[in-house]
Amino acid sequence: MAAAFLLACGMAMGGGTAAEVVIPEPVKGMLEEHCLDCHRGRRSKGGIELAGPVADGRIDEGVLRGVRARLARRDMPPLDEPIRPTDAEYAAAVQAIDAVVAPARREVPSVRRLNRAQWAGAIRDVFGVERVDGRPVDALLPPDDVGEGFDTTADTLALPTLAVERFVDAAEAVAQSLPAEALGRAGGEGERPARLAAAARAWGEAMFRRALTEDEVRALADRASAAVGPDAGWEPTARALATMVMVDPRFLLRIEAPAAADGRALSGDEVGSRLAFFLWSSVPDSELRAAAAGGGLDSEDGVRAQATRMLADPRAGSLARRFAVQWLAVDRLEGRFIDGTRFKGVDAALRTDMRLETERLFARVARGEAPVRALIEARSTEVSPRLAAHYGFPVPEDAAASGAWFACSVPPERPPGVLGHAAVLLATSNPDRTSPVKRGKWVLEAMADAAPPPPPPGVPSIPDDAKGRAGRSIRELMAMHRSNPDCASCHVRMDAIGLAFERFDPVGRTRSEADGHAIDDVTELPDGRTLEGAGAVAALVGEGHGFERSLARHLATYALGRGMADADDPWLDALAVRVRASGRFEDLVHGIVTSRAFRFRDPAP
Amino acid sequence: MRAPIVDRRTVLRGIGATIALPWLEAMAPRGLAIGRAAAAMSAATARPARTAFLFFPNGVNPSAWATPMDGLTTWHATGALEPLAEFRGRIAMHTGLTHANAAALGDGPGDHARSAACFLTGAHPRKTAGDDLRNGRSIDQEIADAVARSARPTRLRSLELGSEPPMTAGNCDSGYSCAYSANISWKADNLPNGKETDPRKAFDRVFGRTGESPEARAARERVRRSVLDGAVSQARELGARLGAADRGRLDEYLDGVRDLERRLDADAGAHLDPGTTLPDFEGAPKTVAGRIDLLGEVLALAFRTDATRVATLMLANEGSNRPYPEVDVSSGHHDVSHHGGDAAKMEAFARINRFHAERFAAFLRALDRTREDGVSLLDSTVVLYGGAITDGNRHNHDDLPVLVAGGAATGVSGGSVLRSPHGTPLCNLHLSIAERMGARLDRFGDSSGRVALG
Repeated sequence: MAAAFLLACGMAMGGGTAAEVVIPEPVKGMLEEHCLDCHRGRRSKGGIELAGPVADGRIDEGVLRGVRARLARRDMPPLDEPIRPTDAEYAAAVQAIDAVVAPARREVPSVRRLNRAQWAGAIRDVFGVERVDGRPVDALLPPDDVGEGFDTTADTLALPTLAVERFVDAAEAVAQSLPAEALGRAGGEGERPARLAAAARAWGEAMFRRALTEDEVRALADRASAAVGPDAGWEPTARALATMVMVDPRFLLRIEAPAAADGRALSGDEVGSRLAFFLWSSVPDSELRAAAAGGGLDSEDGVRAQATRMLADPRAGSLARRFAVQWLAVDRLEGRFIDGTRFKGVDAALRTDMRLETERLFARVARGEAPVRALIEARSTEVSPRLAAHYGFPVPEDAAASGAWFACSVPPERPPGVLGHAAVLLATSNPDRTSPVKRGKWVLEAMADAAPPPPPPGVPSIPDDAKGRAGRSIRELMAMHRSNPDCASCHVRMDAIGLAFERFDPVGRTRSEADGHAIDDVTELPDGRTLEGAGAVAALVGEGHGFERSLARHLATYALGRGMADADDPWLDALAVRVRASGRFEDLVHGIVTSRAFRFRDPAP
Repeated sequence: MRAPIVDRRTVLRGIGATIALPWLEAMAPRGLAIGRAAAAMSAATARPARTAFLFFPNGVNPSAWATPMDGLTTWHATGALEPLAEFRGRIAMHTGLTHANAAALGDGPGDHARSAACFLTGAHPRKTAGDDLRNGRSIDQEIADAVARSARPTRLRSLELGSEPPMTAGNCDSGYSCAYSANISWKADNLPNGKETDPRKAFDRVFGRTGESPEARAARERVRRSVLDGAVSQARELGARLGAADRGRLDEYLDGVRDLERRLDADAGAHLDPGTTLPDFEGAPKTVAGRIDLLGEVLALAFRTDATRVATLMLANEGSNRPYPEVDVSSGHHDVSHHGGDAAKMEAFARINRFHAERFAAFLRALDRTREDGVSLLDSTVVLYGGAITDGNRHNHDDLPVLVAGGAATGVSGGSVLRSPHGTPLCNLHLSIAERMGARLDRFGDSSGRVALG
């Protein structure tokens, strides 16, 4: 029931393309039987009129793609309809549509660059450097633009001159900061030329993520020698070599040879790189490279085995630090705008703790110490004394004294899991007030795989009659959205969910009143049911497997570096069902890394 | 907060080892005898033309942006424009200019993302959350090309500055990638230039690393030359194995590396006059105003030393929801721009409009204080100040708020209102600015002609 409610507003479909196609028979039958009650004539739900096409036997290609997306996700007809197609009927209809219009698909470009987290991860793992002049290595680079929700998206990771310059500057800074003793170890013992060649091979292979030929090694070594001159000592020569390796396009760029018509399986090295950048935000280690070289990554079992090993490695902490924070929209929480005069105590340090609370919960899930559902069901959390004080949680004496993080239970008035985290509640607020719209949108987008479509064309952002806000409660303001039917169709859903979080202020503390109005967090869903506060929202998103599908979709986007397309729906859906049953994060990772999308390249669509 | 930028022979502080060189020498290509280089430059060309584009987001409160009534030919520094009083005689107000491509055109909401993307490109950006970004090329990059092709190319093709880093949410505005909202300078239709937001880093980028000794710098540059050389040959080798359509980022990489190589060749190192007082990075207040004004000072110095002749400065990202406690606005900027007629919000919005005008004035002041052969730098600089949303509450893109500042040598007719017929493309003005910078284009974006500067 709930899933149907959540999804019902994601109806926007691809607009009218000129091409029309014949409606395949099984689809026609399904539309007649299950869809036309609501999608007939001028009052069609969601503006999707299907009776005309069914009568003609022909349908706009874009509309058919939209139908396919809904059928693939099995969320139309709504789950609360008494009569729904069987799984076999759904599958047959989707297959029939795919035979008429190929589902939209996407492929990552052949060449993409590392993002700054991956660059810093490689520097940490290959050169052992985590800080330069006291600052983390990634701070040497400008923040990356974000696309499709993540900073791993290939098309958004541009390389303007400014970025190239920063990468070169950062390489020089790292090379200069390499401790003399580390340089002393590089290349082992032996005569200078042999030593230089050994260092070039070790660093080059680790950074370029593959074996190097003799010629490649010699070229690196020769160039490093030439850079500093023949009389230079070992240290400056090694620093020059390190700089060279860090600036080299074989390091900075990820290049996968384009695929021919039928696609191709990626090479072992290519799969190894994908695994390492996904699970570690870094380059492969020697074990992963050895597996690649030995053919160990050519089979699903081999890939699965490496993924299991890698998830248990501390480097997999990057999944919490880079994936979770972007999925849950709490990245760079320290830089979010808040009203500093009203929320004086909410400084950067406290906000760091807020973010870390969310990262810690996710990390436990990623390590397999808690099931995936803990993210929306956990009734306990880990907090620092500072964060506990902010929440109003009791702080044990020893923690108060030491400042150490401690585990505690979440009081019943707060929703479970990340839905009650201050980081999330802050990230979805305006600087000086809560935003039920943002909170509702966040739940639909991040938690329920039911991102509301943007407002339809032609709808003014603010209704002209939205005057005289002063003195009204947020609930009264939200009611304005319903005055315009175009807004209402989605906003009643977003707003109902968002308003259920009103007991939490813009920085995530509980409150009993706002702007002189008593808090009322009992809201009504469009179908007449009531939501009693944020806890009920958690229960709502927990129904069905929408939560797992949302997590799968976001994690796959992060892993692959591109947005998901229709063609990805079937495998993502099947994966979500599996993870719903097992509750294991590892299964989710296995499903992604053994997918065709991860292990193969197809030609660009 | 700001240390005055004085002509010569004043205090040198803040920076370690800045070597003093008269700017003409500093500009001389390496290897040329200074005398020859200087002689090669006539007095007339010695003071190059410069252009800066200053962008502010979220439109204006029209009642605060004091456009004079029809028929009047001069404007007055009132309302949000009051801080510009001292420069009124060097600022022309344009009316009637439009960015038609910032409108939905069937793509639905997303006016903020489209506005930043369209501001200097005149293009209608492709609606995408990240995959397959498409926008136009921006006018500053056309100008940068013209400068690069000229007899006296600058070290930096162009300089991109801004006060906010890119946003972290993937979808900043109704299905548009944040890259659109955070960039006004586009080198190619899929290549936003990014921007430097840290004044100190911007300074180091223009003038070299502060605190680095000449010996250390020479040693580093020697290695860098070799590193870049190796990078170029590697990139070429990799590129040879890929078709043109697949090279993508590899070509961007190659362009960037070559640009750095070229800079090593063109670069004699130190550029600042003896005694130039440097921006006070440590002492400046850690406020929005402090940050923006420092960026403006760095930009003025970059112009002064001819490190670049074209630059962009985003006072904030489009759609920014930053509060402005400095002017007592605790709500977010975007939030108050959609005031819905609420008097308190409208007033707060106007204060932000005014605050940004103050930043514009501070930049003009930095230019004006900076002297070049005794003449104000503003004299040879055109500064376009504006945005691609008109009324922040309505999201319209016609009759955009646009001011153009420029001194005596620029042809800007200060104090006047230059009225174009309603619906005239803003790109017509971009064309004229580009032309003045030596970029002769027949068309740009959706241009339909020219809008004169004066």
